[in-house]
Amino acid sequence: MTRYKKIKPLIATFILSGLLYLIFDSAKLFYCINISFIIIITAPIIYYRLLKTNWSNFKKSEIKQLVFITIFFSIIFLPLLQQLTTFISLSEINNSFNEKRKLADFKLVDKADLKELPDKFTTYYNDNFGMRKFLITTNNYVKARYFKISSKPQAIIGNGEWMFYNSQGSLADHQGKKHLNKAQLDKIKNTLIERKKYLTKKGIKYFVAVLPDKMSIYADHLPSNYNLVDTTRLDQVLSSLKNTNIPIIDLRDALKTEANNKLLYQVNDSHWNKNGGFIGAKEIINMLRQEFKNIPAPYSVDNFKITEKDKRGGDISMLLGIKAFSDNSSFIYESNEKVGTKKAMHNSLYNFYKQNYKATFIYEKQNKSLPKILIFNDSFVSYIHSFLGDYFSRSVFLWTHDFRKDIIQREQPEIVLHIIVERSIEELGKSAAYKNIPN
Amino acid sequence: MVFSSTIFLFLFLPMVLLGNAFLPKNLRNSFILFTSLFFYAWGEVELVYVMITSISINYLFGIIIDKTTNNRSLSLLIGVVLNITILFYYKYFNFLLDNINGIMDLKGEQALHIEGLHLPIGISFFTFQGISYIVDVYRKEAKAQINPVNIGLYISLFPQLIAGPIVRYNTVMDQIQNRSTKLTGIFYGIKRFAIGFSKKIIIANTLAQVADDIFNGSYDHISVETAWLGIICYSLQIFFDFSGYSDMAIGLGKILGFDFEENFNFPYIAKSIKEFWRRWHISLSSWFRDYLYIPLGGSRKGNTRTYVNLFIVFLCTGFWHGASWSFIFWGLFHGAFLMLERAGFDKLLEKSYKPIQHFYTLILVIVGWVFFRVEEFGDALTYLARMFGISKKTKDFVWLDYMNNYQTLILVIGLIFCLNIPKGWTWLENKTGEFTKHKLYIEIKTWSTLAIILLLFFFSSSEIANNTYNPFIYFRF
Repeated sequence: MTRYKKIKPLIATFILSGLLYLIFDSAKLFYCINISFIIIITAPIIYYRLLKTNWSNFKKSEIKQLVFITIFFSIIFLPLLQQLTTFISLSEINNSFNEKRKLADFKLVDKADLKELPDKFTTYYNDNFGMRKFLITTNNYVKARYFKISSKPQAIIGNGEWMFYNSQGSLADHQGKKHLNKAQLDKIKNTLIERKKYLTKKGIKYFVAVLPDKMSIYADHLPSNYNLVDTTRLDQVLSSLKNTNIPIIDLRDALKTEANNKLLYQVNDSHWNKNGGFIGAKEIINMLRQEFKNIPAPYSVDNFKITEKDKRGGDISMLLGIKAFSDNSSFIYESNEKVGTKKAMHNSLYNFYKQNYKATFIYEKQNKSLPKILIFNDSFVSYIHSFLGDYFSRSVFLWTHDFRKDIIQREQPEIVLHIIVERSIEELGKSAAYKNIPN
Repeated sequence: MVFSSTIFLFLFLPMVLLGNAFLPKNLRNSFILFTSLFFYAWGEVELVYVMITSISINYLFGIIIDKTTNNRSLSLLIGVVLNITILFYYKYFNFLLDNINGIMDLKGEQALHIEGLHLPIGISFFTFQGISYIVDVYRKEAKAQINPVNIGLYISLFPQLIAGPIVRYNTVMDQIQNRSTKLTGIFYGIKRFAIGFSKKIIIANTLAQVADDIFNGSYDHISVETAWLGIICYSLQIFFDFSGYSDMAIGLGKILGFDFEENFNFPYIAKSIKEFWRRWHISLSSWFRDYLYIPLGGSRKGNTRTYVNLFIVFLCTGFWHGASWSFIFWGLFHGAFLMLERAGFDKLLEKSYKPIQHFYTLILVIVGWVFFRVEEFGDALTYLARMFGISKKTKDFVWLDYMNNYQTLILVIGLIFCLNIPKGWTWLENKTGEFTKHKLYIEIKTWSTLAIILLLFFFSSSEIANNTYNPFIYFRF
């Protein structure tokens, strides 16, 4: 009996701490075992040295206190233990985590003089303390799952598991709090007119396609208190371009109609998915076919074998360090022989987006009677380029919103198409300086 | 270093607890003194010398006052003046110069100003502790301390260094010299620390976002509702922040074996301003009572002197909180109503309906906080005008423009926990009858309380971890 008494607090500690972490790290039993193991090792040391508990005359009320103290100590000691040892492996969390910046190095502290040491060390420590990723993920998970809030203004938690991306003023735009003024609208209009003039001189046709924000299509899934309005910056731009002859296509209506039948956007990612891309491609091709009759009619969905893709952690949930949200909203489209998509090629000369990230896609087809196309685009194109690539003899997708005259010169396309996501609409009026690529 | 930082929670605190547990008893005081100075130097760097100077002055004057038989009052006077001088120089000198500039109309190059004068954190707290020590020695209520480590520890003890409570020498000296850590003490201390930590992180920080949004904007077009929402959130923020800090200090003290006195006792349930000051920042009001009000004569020298004394005390209370006219006004505002109550209004108040008493107190306290929160006096008046509907044109109030669901939940929780919940719970238990005395009920109650405290603490610590998370967000993904 006395023996049992000795280990009773340990068992209780084990069970309670296991439960605690189980709640927080939904069903990651593996961590619980690890952490409980640590607790079991540390607990006797803490009891023995810190409390000098006499094991033999142990009061029942003290069990509660011991369990409580142990769990508290394990919460504050674990970060230190994890930093000093590699005992607790959190590799799965580490891999699901991308802060997209270089974390502070200990060199920072090494070089600091005494006066700036506290600041420098704090910077270093805040980027490197043990259990950091576990704690961040847990915190964001609990907030998103149970309280529907996010700790980053760029991530909006909607109904169910829906997440929305708020950037470049997109939320304010949809709430009617952000408008373009006359000067901004004129800037966009004049830029586009100028571009069209430039291209017409070269015998090239110019088209613009605007892809809607996720919140334009799935506004129902936003938190109900957001009071969305119907007229956004895109509507302003469209009406200001009405009397010009710039062919601009707004995909909202087409996508809204289809949105009732299937998922067109990824649930916790800022982008659409292949379903959305497929519809987008169809609409764009129909627009281009009015000018270029030899472009084949858009393929029907029957030409593809569609399977669900297992993907966890879209870019918005990764922004919160969460990978745990399930997301069954990505699809793979495999074409049959009739369509026969070729694999995309890359051209490192055209890699403007990020050095190591192959963001250029080039498709070529045997049928040289088809027109050549040059497309300016952003990340949304990842879900559409494989479809569009099928309709042209050469399709070059450039990940930039800069109007690259150097590449137009080089590629000599018949069509220049600018694909832009709704929230970036102001980019249409911007003309940034760029360095010409070498010829 | 602040309690709500990763360095404190995951590095400093574990190290101190380990050191304290493993070092032999006779080294523990030196160890805690060293860690306290380190704690201070971490945030204030070279200003730690200000603290060391303060310790030295009070150590020396304690002995001088104790040893001399003649001119004890003079020694005390010099000691107090030295303490006040340090405080005045760092906290109020630029304020004084600014006012001189204002009166003399000095501008630009001519203006008097000391550049780079940085306020050492906690200076108001440790100066007061120093003064109370030498006064106690003078009054022969305490013996002068020969061991400088003990005096150093008394003045710089890290749990209460930054935000109180203001500890009295007599309360802690026995514990400094001889203390024992018991399981129950550690248990209670941890519980207290975890509760205070959660109060600060979960309630105060969350409501601070709402309050900051409103107070940092322009007051020109805010509606009545917005103004009230802002000040209510601020009232809760300051209470949970400050009392959370006190809880953490008391808790940490307990873990190390010290007993600090309570600093808050549900101030927002007070029924008069007088009662409010018995429940709010108790260690400060009792300090002013013992070391200012009573030496001035208290209420023993006739009515006029009493009012003058009260005026002085509240002038000092306001000024103690910060070097600006707003704080002085805030202090005098409270003082004025306290005097009014003393002049007979309290009798009237006591006869009235209880909710009226609460309403009266809360309104005054809340109005007072406006002066506390808004830096410029004129802006504070504008804000008050908005609160009471005196305004030009206001925007419509949309609750959810200011508050998300989580913040709303926290606001409600904050409002509930201003009340004396433990007392209410006991009352409820007595009302509901026998089953609350059942063993099972008691077991469930204690275990679930502990589990909730741990969950909140864990969530709060993950919150401070999350504050370090700054992903670089690409313009385009």
